Amino acid sequence: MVEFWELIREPVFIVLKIVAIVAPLMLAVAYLTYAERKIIGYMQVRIGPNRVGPRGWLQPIADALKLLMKEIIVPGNSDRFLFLIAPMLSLAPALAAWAVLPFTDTLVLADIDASLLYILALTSMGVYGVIIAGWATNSKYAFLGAMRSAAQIVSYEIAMGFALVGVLIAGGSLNLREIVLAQQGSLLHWFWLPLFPLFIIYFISSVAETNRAPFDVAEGESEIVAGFHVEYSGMAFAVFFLAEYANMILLATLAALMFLGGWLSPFEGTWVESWFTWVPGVFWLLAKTSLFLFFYLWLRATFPRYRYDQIMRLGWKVFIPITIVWLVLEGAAVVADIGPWFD
Amino acid sequence: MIALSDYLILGAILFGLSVAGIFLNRKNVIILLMAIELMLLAVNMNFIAFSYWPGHPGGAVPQPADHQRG
Amino acid sequence: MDFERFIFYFFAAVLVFAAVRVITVRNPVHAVLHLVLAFFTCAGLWLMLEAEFLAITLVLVYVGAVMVLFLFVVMMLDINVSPLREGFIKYLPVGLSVAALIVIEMFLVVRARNFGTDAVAIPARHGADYSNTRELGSVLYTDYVYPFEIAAVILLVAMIAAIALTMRRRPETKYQNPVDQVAVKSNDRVRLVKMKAEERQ
Repeated sequence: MVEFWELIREPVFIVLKIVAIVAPLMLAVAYLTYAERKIIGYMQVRIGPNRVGPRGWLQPIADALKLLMKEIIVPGNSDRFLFLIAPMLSLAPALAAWAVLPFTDTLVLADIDASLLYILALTSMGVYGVIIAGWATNSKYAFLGAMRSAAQIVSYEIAMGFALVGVLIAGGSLNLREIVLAQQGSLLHWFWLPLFPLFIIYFISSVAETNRAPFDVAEGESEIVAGFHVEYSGMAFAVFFLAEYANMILLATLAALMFLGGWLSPFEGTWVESWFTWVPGVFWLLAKTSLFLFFYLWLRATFPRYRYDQIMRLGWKVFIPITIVWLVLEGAAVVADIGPWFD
Repeated sequence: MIALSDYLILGAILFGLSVAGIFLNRKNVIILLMAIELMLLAVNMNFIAFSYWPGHPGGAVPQPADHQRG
Repeated sequence: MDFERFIFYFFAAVLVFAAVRVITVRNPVHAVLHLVLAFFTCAGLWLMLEAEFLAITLVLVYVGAVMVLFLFVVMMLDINVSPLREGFIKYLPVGLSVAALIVIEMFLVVRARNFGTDAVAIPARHGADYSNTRELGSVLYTDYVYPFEIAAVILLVAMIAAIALTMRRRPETKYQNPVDQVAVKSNDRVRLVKMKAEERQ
């Protein structure tokens, strides 16, 4: 009996750790939708959901239950297997990427050597869910949405990849934990300052990667009804929804880790530092992530949708040249040992 | 443990399948291209196996047993 | 059969299955998706060879970019499936026999007698602090820096060629200029003419 326990102990603990990451993530996704509706509501001088539970707090639960109850309708001429597997293909990479994200110096599920590369590979997988959904539906609107989304994600991934290359040059490692530790010192040691253009480009590209407003031409309610997920209903639709929001949280956390010092306290190196030593590092990480998530919602409430050719021009003719120029400058700074970041 | 020959035979099977694919899909250039991608994958598999066995990433083909015997 | 061997045979079986499907499946979109599966299992096998960097790069570059573009092209072309299979049966015997010949020849070279555990010893696994990325980089930028630079230049030439081939604007193709479309004013499109109403008879 003891031997059997020895054998299965590690797998059981790994599964428990996965649950400990995924369950709060799902809860965060649910309440991110609530926060989105509330925040955009207030920005548009409305109240937002306020009927289910006190101040509408149970609204996401009610939405989830409603979607669970609904029937999943599979269109007659669709490719049934691909139609049903597409939502899972978009959700799986968004969840799998969390395996390598460090929450504090020691709190990480898999501290692998090339975690940044792993995340880049997995985020590039997300496009398959969208393309396969659009094709398998066998509908013109869905197909248009899938094509738009594929072209957009592939173009912005290059700019995003270059921004990440800048981060790994500055951090001197592909490991996210070491990248955060390289930012130790103070608020001005964080990589947002030396890599400011890459920081901005990373954030905007992440908005485009998740197909969020103002880059949401893949859905484009007013032109192609809902793009790739026109024909999805019930839980299949909910899984697409989950994937989009899980991706948002993932990219926001990555931005916090790579550019805003992750779990490092913002008061590090100042005279108030000792007042905040009792605050756990996870709190700072969550606060920074929430800041980026708020930016996502703010962007959606503020900007009109980009025109398609403008999106392409921004990606290829603005972002990629800027990132390449900044990488050259950064390389020169590393060679010249310009402190306090590159020494 | 898995021997070097296992990886090489897998690579050979993959290579043979892609050669067959080139014969079978003569009407479709895109599937032809995909068969060539498979062929490259088989070759890459051999390269990586040959870089693992000597123990340094530069890689080399180990001396086959036939030659060692003489 | 230990666990490592089980994983190897599992991935190998999936890989061979996916490769067979790539060359025999009727729908090109399904062929692309099976090729993606093949790349994935191959990445898994490469991880067993301690080649993490190359495995992840395979997923990143091939699955994340090249296969997406393949899928893009295959979906856009909207190929009629039935004529593609012409000659499939006709070429099946010759294709299979050539493939079998190649596999048998290769097998005679790489079989266990030559490259098995007895002939070539399995190297010891590296420790947890071993970084495949670092090792690869240190080899690539020292011993092999000239081949690396040459490969980079060839890629650059290929990229410039691809851009140059698609840059020309053929006169017969129709395209829209959204900037002009947006900038248009009602006066450019509609001319309002003042006319006297017809007189009552």
